[in-house]
Amino acid sequence: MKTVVYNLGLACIAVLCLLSIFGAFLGAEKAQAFFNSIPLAVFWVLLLALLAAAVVAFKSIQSQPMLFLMHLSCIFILFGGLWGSQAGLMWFSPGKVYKGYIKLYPGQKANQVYIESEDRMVNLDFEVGLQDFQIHYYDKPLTLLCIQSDLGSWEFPAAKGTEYSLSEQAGRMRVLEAFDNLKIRMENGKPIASEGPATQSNPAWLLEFIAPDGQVTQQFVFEKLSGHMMSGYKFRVSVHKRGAMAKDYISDVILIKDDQPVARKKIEVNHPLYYADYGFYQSSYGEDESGTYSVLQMVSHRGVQTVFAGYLLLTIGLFGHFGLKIIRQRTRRSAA
Amino acid sequence: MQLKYSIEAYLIYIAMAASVVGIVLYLARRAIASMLLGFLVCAVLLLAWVLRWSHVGHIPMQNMFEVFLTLGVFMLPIGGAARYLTGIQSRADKLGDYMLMLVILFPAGFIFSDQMQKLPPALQSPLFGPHVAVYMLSYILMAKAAVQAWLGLVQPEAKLELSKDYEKSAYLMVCISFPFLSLGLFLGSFWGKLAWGDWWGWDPKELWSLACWLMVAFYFHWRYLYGQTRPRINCIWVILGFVFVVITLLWVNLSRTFSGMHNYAS
Repeated sequence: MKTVVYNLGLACIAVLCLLSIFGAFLGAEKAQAFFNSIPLAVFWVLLLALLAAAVVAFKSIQSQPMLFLMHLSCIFILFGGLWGSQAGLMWFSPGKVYKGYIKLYPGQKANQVYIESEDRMVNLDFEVGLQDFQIHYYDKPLTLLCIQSDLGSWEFPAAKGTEYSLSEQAGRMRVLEAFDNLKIRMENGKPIASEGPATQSNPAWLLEFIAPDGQVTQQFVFEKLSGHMMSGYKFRVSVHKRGAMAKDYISDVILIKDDQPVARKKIEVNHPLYYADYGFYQSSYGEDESGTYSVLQMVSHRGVQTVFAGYLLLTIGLFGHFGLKIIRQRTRRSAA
Repeated sequence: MQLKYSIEAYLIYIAMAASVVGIVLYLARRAIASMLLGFLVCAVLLLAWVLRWSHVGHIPMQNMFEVFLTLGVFMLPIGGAARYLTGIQSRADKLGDYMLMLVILFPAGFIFSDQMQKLPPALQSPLFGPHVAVYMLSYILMAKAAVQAWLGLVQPEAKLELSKDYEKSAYLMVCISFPFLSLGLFLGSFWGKLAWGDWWGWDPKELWSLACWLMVAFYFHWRYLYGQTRPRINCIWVILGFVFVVITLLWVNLSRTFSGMHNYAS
């Protein structure tokens, strides 16, 4: 019986090795679906049962604490993986989100998450708000002004003092002023734009549009309100950054439940926010006609602690077992 | 294949030339001179590594050039430490270290681009250095194990005892390598959870790393059950394990067959 269990275990390791190689050729998305499929779920359960049988049946495993720890830890990892997997959630907790995405513009809130694998939105019992979003670059990126109107669309570098010809119908555009931190102060009842302290940031530009008939209009463009069109303005102008590699991107996220903030953190890559049974991760960012947006990833945490406990036990078991083996070998050779 | 004209590349070429001289001296049974040259090779490569670190502004393990430079830096010290721990003192193992050093330094010196790259946000983690370093350590030991296993495999039938000795040496090397191979996998998984939200993402690199781990796990179980009667087959499993390591390190990163999040490593 023991030989059967041992040979079955050996066969399972070999099969899983071959399946891993097969999965590598499929690509991550298809591999995930493959390893979450029903036949593979049966395989995982069989592997789990075999490991449990080995721990119970083999005296050689029970008598060596490190070897016991190694096999027990594999049970932890497999169980945690199954319990927290996409298939595990689908079967045992239908309705619970496994992984989803939330796209937010600064100042926006949402209580829905997009499930990419099912192409649908799911309602959350709390709100996710993006207070602020910042991108830090290695080098200063080229800032471009993207101008749109019924007469066409254009893109120009946002350099102060430059003038561009749009078209015969649209006329010309001039960048009159560029501010790193625009502040408006009142002088004699009139608003005056000026540069604020360098400790804060509010990039803005004052543009002047000269129509073919000579009519001149001025409008402010704010990076943080990119694409926003104020009443009376003729052109929709959005701000885009090009040509620099992002060093970091940070979302100041607040979670609100029953109108009360329950968690808040500046999320960046490698620094997620944890709330309830979920982790919120900085996934990506992008730009569209409404401005720069942040994409957050919401991922279930179920089973993760069990898996990591398994890793810890396995590491202790491996270093203990093989370390002792090497020490014994060295002692034997020294004695010889 | 092209010559590079950076200080790091010049130091790699010096280390390669010194390794060749080291091999010649060792074959001429000038063991002490060869060992001293080994120290020089280590010092030269360590200097190249430190210079690279200061030039790129982060631990140089991001692209293939940096990974292979790192492998070169640690090849001989890890080889020496492994011999000390296992008690293996065969000439083949010492010579094998020099040979492996040349095999490692050749692509760093002539093939992989040494263009400097900035770290993307995901790699700006305290786990980046330990994750890669632990894998490099285990890969070097797997390479040493494969050399021993190969020597065990090619011995004629009449030299069965010698074949068994090489097989035992390969086994001991794998015994040291396997805990680090596992730790590399766990650190990567833990980091993946922090950075991308997934402790396991089914990425081709992850799956090949798992295949390596399973191959070695299979080898240990096989050796326990059938190892005493089939030493040559044990050697084949070790060599196959190392083939998987090479695929994980090179093919997955360099080929377009395996697209995934680890592709920027190339």
